[in-house]
Amino acid sequence: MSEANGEAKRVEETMLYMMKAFHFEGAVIARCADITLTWVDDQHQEHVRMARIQKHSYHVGHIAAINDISRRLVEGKVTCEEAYVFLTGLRNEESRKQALWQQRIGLLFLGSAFVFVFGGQVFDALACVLTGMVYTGLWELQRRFGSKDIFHFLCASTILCILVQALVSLAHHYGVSLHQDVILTSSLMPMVPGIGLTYATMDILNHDFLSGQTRLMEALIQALSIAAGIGFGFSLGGVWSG
Amino acid sequence: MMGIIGAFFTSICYGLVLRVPPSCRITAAANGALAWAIYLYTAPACGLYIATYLGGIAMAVGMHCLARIQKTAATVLLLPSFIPFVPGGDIYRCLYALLQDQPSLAMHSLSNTIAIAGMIALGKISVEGCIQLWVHQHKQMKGR
Repeated sequence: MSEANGEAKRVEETMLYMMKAFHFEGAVIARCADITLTWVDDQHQEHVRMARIQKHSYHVGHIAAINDISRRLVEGKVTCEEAYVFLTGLRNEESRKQALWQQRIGLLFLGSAFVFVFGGQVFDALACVLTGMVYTGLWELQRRFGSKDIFHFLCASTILCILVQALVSLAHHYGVSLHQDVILTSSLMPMVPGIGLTYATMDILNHDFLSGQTRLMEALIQALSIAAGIGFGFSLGGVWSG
Repeated sequence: MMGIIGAFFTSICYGLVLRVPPSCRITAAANGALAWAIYLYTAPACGLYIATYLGGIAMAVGMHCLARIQKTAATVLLLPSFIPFVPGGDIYRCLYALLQDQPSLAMHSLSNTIAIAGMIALGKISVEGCIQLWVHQHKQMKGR
């Protein structure tokens, strides 16, 4: 659940519910980067277990599945072994492949949908389908070669910035008016850390300052790498057009 | 109207990217579009921040009702629902203004970004606070 970027408070609640179902007394601290669990066994011996969260990305499907299995475990509808098999099965290859296709389709049309939220026109949305195709390709490259997120955001925002400028110039040449700001903002939306920032605020307002700070720093670094990419993109676009 | 339809499809697409279970995608998107409609209609009268807060409240109320009906985690419905609200546009404008050497414009966009993110979070937390209060009262009434 932490790997899937679930709220720290929810991770703690879910673990405590499951422990309570098996009459274990304990305490949990869940943060962005680690989980620490303490509990007392039948012989009144205290135990501590810590898990490091190496990598995390938003995966709402996993949060829903874990929520469902914990609910069934607490209600006594599944045994502990069945729950364990189910949880380890979440990483199976078939479901991952299906989810990948859905993600690609989502990324392809996300920018076009944002165009209407930002008050753009149909031609802007069509241009965003093109930038969406390019971004989906870049996302796929990052997924396959496992490059650093910062490098991915820097390269992707540079390429998208140049592409949008080229598209707007080309459309202008053929007498079609496109809104560069709307297209560029919409195209960058899959990368912009809006969710991270909002989640950080939620964590801070929930008095979970450590998780909030971690998310805030992550969002800041992401935003800075995109800013650098846009800067490069505009500079290179300026050089290109003379 | 196009904005509301756009918000619906934005939530659907983001639902696909975030791998939201198929059973929750349409309901989460409808919840997001409804909250966005409330924001759009209240913004001219109340201003940006109060409209975002009202939209955040509407989204959180819808999210909690749907989570109870569909028996799923509220987070599953929350993320796709609030995507039309996230201040991505303001973050971009802030970065763009910084690159154009316009610090006052960048500060304005940054304060907008922080205020919008805060208002969404505050809307959600207000609803959760009311629900907790109601549950507490309900338990006390039962205890008597």
